This record gives sequence, structure tokens and C-alpha cells, in this order.
Amino acid sequence: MDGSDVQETGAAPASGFRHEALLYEGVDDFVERTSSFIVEGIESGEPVLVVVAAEKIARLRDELGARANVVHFADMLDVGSNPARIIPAWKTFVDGHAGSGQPLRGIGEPIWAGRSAEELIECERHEALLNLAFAASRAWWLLCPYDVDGLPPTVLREARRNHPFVLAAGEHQAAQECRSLRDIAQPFDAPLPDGPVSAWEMRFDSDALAHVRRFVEDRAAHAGLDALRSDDLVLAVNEIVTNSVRYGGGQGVLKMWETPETSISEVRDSGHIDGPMIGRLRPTPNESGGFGVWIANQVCDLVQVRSFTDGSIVRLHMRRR
Amino acid sequence: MGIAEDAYLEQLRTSPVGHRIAIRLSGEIDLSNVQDLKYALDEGIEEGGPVLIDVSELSFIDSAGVHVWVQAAEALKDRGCLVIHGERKSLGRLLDLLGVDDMVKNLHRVHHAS
Repeated sequence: MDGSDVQETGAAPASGFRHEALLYEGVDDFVERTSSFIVEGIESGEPVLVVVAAEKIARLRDELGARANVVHFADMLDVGSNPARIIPAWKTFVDGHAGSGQPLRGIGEPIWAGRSAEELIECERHEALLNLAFAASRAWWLLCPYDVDGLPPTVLREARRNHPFVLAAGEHQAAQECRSLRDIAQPFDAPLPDGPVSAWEMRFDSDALAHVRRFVEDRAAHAGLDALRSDDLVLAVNEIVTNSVRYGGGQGVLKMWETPETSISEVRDSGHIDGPMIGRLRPTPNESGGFGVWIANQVCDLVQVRSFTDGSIVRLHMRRR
Repeated sequence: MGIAEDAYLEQLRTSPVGHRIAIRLSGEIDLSNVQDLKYALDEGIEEGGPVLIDVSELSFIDSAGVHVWVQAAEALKDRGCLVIHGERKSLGRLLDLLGVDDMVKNLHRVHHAS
């Protein structure tokens, strides 16, 4: 893993990946700046994938006219309502053009004003991990739009910490405060507020997996999840609990609780979750492990993974409707 | 809370007519009994040919169980294949999520229960 620090050298990163935040002011400014980025790509014969909200896709199609036919679009709500699904989508795009020899362009807007506080933290973690995921990549340029009008200064400051480049008011800047790859690769230990005291709880070990599944089914029914989503949640929790049994000290604690919108399942153990990309790399079936968090990310609306000095926590969110 | 059923695995072998090993899996497969699944498949791997796995009575399997199938298919290579027969929705979902169809060419899924 390349641990070199971008701001120490002051030069462009060794990788072909250019990860740049675009600060825009309102939708019209968004359309103007992103469409010119797209048109530059089209004119150079570079494949372009745009992953933004549906309304913005519609505006861009209008702006680009017939040129939109050579651009790939995807709705960010489909691709990345759970932001941990976004890196695999970019990998598919980049790997899918491996033979072409052309640089690629992408636009991805994972953060908008409506994101919950927990989603926002996971989106920011995703932005940081992009730098790691494509540290040894072929040439491609990913523009990440941030709405200066709609987002608080804390979010914009964090955007500068996660992007080696920032495009603001037409000017490209190298972001001096961008995190190093070494820092990004550290175990993720952002705090998680404790669940409620009233949460349902069970301890588990290797003999208790079937009990865990019955427990989750009961609580899923209580939360009003339909049969398909209940099956999904049972699958996901079973995988995370199995990880604890295999890698996290052989035992742990499962807690479940509800908010009006969500059913939350939390698995705690005494192990460490070291790989920063856990759950974000498509599994190859001949790997013996590492599927658990991937599966959880595909079926859950949000997954929070934390690794502290005294143990790990994984929280799975399932919207109740 | 209801009483949890222990995960169990029932094995059905038909004597070879056309040299097939057929296994019926019932109940649930997880880390606690996945080794039994592996043992059940060993003979099929050794003999080669199609190994039929009836999963119409299988109410749960996790990625550890699917991994055993994948390993069996890879050990068989061009000497045989795995045929997963009668998958329920949740198993179909898991196989799709793991991308098994794209990555393992000699694992076939036959959906309709007999």
C-alpha cells in the first residue's frame, strides 16, 4: 500500500487517479460545470459515467442534447443509497474499460443536504476510501460535486480533507489538508453513540448461530419488515455474527432496536477489523472469507463498521418501509 | 422467543445409475455444520460427473456453505459439475449477491423443485 503523503510532495499523486471535489453554487452552476467536464471527455473520446440524483441527470441530458447518448448515467439513489456500494460501481466501470487504453471520467455526488448524520459519516468515509481504492489505478478523473449553498461548512471542510484536488470557482487547487493514504488505511474508529438501554440483547458463540437467526426473525417481524427483507436481515446478521465467531474472538453480543424509520442490528466482539476496504470489494468465490460485510452492504440500507482498540462493532440498518 | 432448531443436514445418496451422486440438504447450513457438507461432497468430487444437490428443503445457507459448493465445483473442474436443484428465493438471492454464476462455470442452478 502506498503510504506517500500527497501534501508533502506537493505534486500530483503517482497514481493515474485524479480525485477532485467540485464546489458548486446551486443547480445551474452544477449543470454548467459538470457539463463542460463531460463535454471535454466526450471530445477526447474518454468514456464518462455520471452517478448523481435523477433530477440532475435529467438536467444534464437537457443540457447535453444528443451528446448525452455517449454518456453513461446512473441514479445515485440506486447505486449508493448505501454509500459502501459506490466503490464497487466505480471499480466495475474502471475495470470494464481495462482494454481501451483511454483515460476515463466520472462524476459522483454521494453527499446532499438530505443525508442523515449517520449516512453522512459513511459517505465521508467512502470519499476517503476512494483514494485508497484507486491508489494504483489507470488514468481516470473523478469529480465529486458538493453544493456550497446547501451543505454546512463542516461538510465542505471534510471534502477538502478527502480530495487531493478541489475545483472551486473555475480554479483547480491542490488540497493541502488532504488525508494521507496511511491515515485513511488506519482502522476506522469514529465514535458510535450507544444504542438504547431498552435494546433486545443476546450473547452468542459458535453454538448459537441458529438462535441468532430466530432472534433476528422475531425482531424483524416486530419491526414490520416483510418476508424478503427479514430473510435479507437474517442473512446479513448471520454473516456478521459468523465473522465474530471466526475472527473476532469466538463470541460476541447481538443487540437489536428500532427507530421510527429503521431496524438496527448491532454485533460487538473483541476482535479487530483491519482491512479498510472490507465489504467494498466484490468477493471472488475462491476466497474463503470476507463475504460477510459485502453481503450486508448489498442488502442493508446502511452498514457502520468500527474497529477500536478493545473490540469491533458492526451496525446494520434496515429501513422499516 | 421460539425454540431454535439446531441446524441439520440430511444426506440422501442414490446408488449410481449413470454414476450420479445425489444429495438432499434439509434444514439449515451454517458454520457449525458446514464441515458435514464438505464431507458429503467429497465422494462426488472424487467420482466426478454431475453431483446433484436438492435444496428444496434447505431453509437457510450462508456464504460458508456456498463456499463449500464453489470449492467442490472447482475441484471437479472439467470432470463434472454441481447441479443445485430447487433453490428457494433467499438462496437465489445469496448466489446472485456472491456472483456465483459469473465466476463458477460448472455450478448450475435448476430452479424448479421436482
